[in-house]
Amino acid sequence: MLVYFFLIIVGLFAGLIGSTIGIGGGLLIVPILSLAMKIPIHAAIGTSIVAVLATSVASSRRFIKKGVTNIPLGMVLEIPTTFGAILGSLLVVYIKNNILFAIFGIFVFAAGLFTFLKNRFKKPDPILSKVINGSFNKTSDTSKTTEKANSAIFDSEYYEETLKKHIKYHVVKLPAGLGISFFAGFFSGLLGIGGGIIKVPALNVIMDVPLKAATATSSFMIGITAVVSSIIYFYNGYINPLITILIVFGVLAGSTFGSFIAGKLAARNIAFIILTVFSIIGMLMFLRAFNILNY
Amino acid sequence: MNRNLYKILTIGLVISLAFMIAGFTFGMFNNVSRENIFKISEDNIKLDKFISELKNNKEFDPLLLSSVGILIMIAIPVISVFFALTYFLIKKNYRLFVICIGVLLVLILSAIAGFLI
Repeated sequence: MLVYFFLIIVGLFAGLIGSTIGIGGGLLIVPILSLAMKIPIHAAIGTSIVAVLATSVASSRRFIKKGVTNIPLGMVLEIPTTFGAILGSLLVVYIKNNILFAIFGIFVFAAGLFTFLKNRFKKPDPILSKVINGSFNKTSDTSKTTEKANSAIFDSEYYEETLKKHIKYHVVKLPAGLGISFFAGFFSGLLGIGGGIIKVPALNVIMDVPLKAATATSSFMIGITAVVSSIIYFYNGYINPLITILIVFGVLAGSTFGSFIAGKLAARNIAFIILTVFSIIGMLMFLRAFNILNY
Repeated sequence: MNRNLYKILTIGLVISLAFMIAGFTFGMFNNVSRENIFKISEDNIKLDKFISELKNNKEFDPLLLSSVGILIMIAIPVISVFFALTYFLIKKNYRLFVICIGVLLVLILSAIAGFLI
């Protein structure tokens, strides 16, 4: 009975921290399940990917209702993402435990460092500022005009509640976005994470999608990407129903609560906590990879 | 489109969670696999075993009920892609229709890949 309770707490913690600092819960679920609860890492990843899927379905609902999600863009980026996810998920079946621990350790540390820097030097969304200032996508270059015409079907708009105005934006550098999406899908399939930590910056910084729309589109995409990995994990028996449902309940409750408190925390204050927590997790995963931390 | 997609996601989520909760609750009463929940390779339900148990099992198994909930959860995004595909076809937006077909094909490919390995 205590185990059930602990699993819900793990999910709750992952969902709460994940949504508060703007990453999925997967980066926390896998280390906790595999290191603290001694669940085989393949099964921990399988559990995590279903939890990621559930979180994506729950959170993308809200964005879709408000019309923030760019569905056409999400669909086109999903093609390379799902290819990447297939490759990553298939690779998991053949990768040894210690190698998976090492890859996860490196990824968690890199994600922690990135999130730390993002929060430490947090500034307003540059794309949104450009849209408001009217300096957005002004180009007379003919090659860029052709590119603009090609990606015009992905242009979109949404109502920005904080500014009380409609934000129209034009999507650029689609090929680069397609390439990065492949890697996001690959890591999602390999590590059982959502991949939002790669997708959101790519959409925002490279493809000129405002942060809110980038987050919404990424959230929508994560669900579809997670389907691919979930099917492969399900086939191979890496999804334990009991562990999974308890983690899902916890993550859903935690992410709902986390999204409420996210805006109330000072970004700079949580930056150090993120770096510390992720560094410790990354180091523990690495130690486990080389059998230094063995039990 | 957004309103209908929102409904699909919401209904799917509620049904999926209902199955999961039901499976878990019945499992609590039936003492199913309580001691062995961390045995991964033997006790987990692989798809072929899942289908055969669903067909042949005369006794009620709460784990199967939970697995159905998980499968519904996995199916929700697929249904949303189907919906988008139909919407773009009706709106005669063939470019986006083809893109949705592409996404569905890759999803089918993943199912085949999972089956083959």
